[in-house]
Amino acid sequence: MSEGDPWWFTGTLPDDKSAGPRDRTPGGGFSLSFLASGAQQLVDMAKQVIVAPHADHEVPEQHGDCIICRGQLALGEVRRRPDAPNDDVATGAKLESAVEWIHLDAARPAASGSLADRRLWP
Amino acid sequence: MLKRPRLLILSGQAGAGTSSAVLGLRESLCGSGIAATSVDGRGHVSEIESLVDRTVAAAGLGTTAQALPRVLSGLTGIAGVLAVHEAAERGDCIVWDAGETGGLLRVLALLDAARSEAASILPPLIAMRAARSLSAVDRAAWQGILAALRSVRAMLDDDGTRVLLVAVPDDGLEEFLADRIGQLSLMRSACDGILVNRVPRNGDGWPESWAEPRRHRVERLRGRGLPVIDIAHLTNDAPGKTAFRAQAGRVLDVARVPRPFPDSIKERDDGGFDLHVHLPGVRPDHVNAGRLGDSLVTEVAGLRRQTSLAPVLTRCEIQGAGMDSDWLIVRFERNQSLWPEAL
Repeated sequence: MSEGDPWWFTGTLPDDKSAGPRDRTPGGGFSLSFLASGAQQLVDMAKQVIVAPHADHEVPEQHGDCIICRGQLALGEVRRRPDAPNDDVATGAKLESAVEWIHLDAARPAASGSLADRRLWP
Repeated sequence: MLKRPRLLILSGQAGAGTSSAVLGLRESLCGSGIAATSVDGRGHVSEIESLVDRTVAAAGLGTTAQALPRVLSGLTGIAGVLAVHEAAERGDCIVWDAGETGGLLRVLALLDAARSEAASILPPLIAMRAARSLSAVDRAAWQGILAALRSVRAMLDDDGTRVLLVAVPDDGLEEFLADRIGQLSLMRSACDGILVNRVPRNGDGWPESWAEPRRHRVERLRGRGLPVIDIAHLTNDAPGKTAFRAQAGRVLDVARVPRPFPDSIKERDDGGFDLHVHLPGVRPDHVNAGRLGDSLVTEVAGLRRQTSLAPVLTRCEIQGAGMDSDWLIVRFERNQSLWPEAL
């Protein structure tokens, strides 16, 4: 990546006339500093408005009025112990005590003309 | 109406060559006269996370509150979304290096939450803005982030967008694809094509005992009708760029797989309700479902999606559920104590 390329760009832009330094002022695009600044503000505000009440929330699903708990659940995230495996996506075995799991009926075969994609079914 | 650029999203197994594929495709597209741009929003993820970690530590938050950075890890997705949003102004085609598929799923979850569960994440930012606590620059930044989330969400729904999984033909290939294709479906997306990298060709001198099972796995996928594009394992092309460039045309020709339909509710004759959740491409044995308060939790191969129940369903009890073809159908019956006649 050359010096004039944007932070997200991988490769070279031999034919791109817009490859020069870009305007990162408000309304003209973004730079990491803006994002970082925004993140800083978010954390500051979160500390004041959100984090303090959340500090006592051990079980996110029991605090539906807490934005952090709801955010965790919406993103499939739950807090994990330091020694827990570092899963790349939200995985099971985290909300077992809270979710009322449903025993699913035996799967019914697809009707003729179904849109079902079963190409990777066993 | 402005024409949106075509968006190719590449994501795959760690070490499968996603970044090489992105570069090879972009170079090939540019060589064909298409103004293509490649983006990789991961470059600053560590900086963003470090910033959040430092701030949380400086704020003296306790152990429990250290969960905050994990919530904000959505910023990793935001970085990629911002990059795509900005790149949309630069050309006709964007090749997005979304990295490992787990990360892409996280981005899709973020975008889905931004659309359907806005009350879960974004309103506090708006509320903060309304409170005029942020500087003008930061307000502009957050406004831009919100705009980027909206525009990239729209790009994902566009007919010109394709999602391609990048994998290698090792043992476990089918399991990987079954998991990830199902999880993409759960996140209201789909896999439009599969780039299988490092496929040893006949006559290239590879030990046949090693090469044949790999070729067989690819042929098996192809035999199942999956949109497979195999990338040759060239002995003198370590980064794989040459091999990827040769297949750029096939990538562009990949058809778009229909995306899942929105959830729908049907009232039954007995007064109960059926909630239909479309999960095309998901193996039934990979699906779990459960209720968490007023939300439905749907799990596919360990990945969970939580959606708020419609008000009418919050006053019901779940009778049961099951997969019917490519639909998860959850049966609800009225909780009589919560309906008007009982009040």
